[in-house]
Amino acid sequence: MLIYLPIADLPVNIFVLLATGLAVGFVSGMFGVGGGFLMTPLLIFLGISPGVAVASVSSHITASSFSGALNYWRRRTVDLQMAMALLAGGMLGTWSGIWIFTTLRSLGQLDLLIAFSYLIMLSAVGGLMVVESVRSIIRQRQNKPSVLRRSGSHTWVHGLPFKFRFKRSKIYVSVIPVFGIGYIIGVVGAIMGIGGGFLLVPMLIYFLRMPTNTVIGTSAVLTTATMALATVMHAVSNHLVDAVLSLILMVGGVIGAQFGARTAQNMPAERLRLLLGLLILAVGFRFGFDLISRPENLYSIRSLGTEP
Amino acid sequence: MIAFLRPSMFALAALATQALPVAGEELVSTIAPELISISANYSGSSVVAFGAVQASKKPAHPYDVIVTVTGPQQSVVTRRKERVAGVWLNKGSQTFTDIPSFLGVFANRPIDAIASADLLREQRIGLKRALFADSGAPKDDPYLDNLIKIRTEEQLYNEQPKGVTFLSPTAFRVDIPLPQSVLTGDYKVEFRVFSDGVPLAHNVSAFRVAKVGVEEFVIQAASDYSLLYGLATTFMALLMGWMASVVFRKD
Repeated sequence: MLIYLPIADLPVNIFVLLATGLAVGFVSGMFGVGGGFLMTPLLIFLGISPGVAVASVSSHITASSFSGALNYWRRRTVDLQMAMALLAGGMLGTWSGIWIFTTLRSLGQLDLLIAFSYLIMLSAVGGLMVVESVRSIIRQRQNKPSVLRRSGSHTWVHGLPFKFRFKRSKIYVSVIPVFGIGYIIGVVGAIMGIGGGFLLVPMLIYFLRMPTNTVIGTSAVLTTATMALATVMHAVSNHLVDAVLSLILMVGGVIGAQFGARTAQNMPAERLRLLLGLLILAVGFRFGFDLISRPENLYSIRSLGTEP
Repeated sequence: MIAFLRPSMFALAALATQALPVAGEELVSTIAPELISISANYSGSSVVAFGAVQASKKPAHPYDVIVTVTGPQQSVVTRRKERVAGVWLNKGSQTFTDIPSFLGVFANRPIDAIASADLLREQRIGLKRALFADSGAPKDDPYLDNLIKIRTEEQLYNEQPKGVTFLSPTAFRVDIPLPQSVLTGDYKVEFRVFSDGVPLAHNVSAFRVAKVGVEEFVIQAASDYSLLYGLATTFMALLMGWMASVVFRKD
């Protein structure tokens, strides 16, 4: 059944979109990630323009993060103080990201910006994950205990001023890196249409030494807020949010996530990470390939507006 | 000009009864429907125009007809990708200000055969000639050529040398296909009658395109009430997230 996506200006089979939502939801539930870094590329590969894909996925991520955030809130694993501190940077970051997005769009380089961001981000993250998980699988084979970093150890981050005590997480750190991390997540999220959980969680653990029990819930709260803000700002500044597309993706994504979460419980963590890493790498390479292969049509047009 | 909102068959009959003896040639025309509603999920629609030439005496040569349909104006930027350091990116661009968003040129035979090149240029008949003066682009401009190519693929620009059908030596019909992506607004239809390369009669009418449906509502909301639209979409997302957390609650 073909459905017309009003903002994407494209007829798409509704079942293909639902299946995409389900598949990405499944993967995101399996790995406990938002799935934006897979959803946005898949939509682009389906033929939806990168700008519309990024803007529409923002609202999809708002839905999936909010559902996660509510679950973690009920389990009292959200550090609200930390989330608010991150959000201060996150709001400014989202604003900057939207500004970069809009500026490059008017210069005709938005697609390039999105493709490059994905190429760099996905190959870096995917590569690291693959290396890390292969190492730990080998280590397991050789029956060596996995090396864990001591959670109490300090880094240069802890030497920074303006320290603040985050009670729920039981940490005492400077607000400067907190603000900075929030800012980075805001910028990256607005440009790429991702919640950024797969960047945020490691940063909170490695730089701030946040305990693992509050890290995921707090990350979900921040992502909900930055993605909600990104959706509104994308709608206002670029008119690229396709509500019909978002709604279909949300339905598929929400259902898929439930099945993914159940499947993941029966799989070893290292295998899972290796799988996700390979998936991320593959998507990254696809962007790289599209950048260097000769486009079918060298010319493209964009309407600038209607004279009444 | 009398406006007919009747189905096309009646329109043609009405035209025929209107025939009165006049000095020289006169052209009467009608368009059906005059207001066309396109729903956004529909594949498109079409408008039919009828015309009849009324003349005091029979012409020495058969009549030729060229019909030009012009949609609302808009500005368009055309970009060209080039390879820079191994990567394909948009390099050159050219902006065409206030060019028609829809342009259809229909004739009963190739327009070069109907009138001289000078006349066609002067009256700006034909896709490129109509756009050329509008945009002020040089004659052989790859940006303009590719703009026309892309728009032609989208069926927004349309040159059909066999788009006009003569029903009798003096009466003709033309089908104007409208793809789903046409803009809403007023469309100008210019009829030109030639005989042996000489312009005999000229007549302008119009029709209006409106869009209906949920999709159109979304498009309008997104462009005219963008803040409200953004907030509503976000609210919808939060609602969906909340529902999911309630329905699939684990504890």
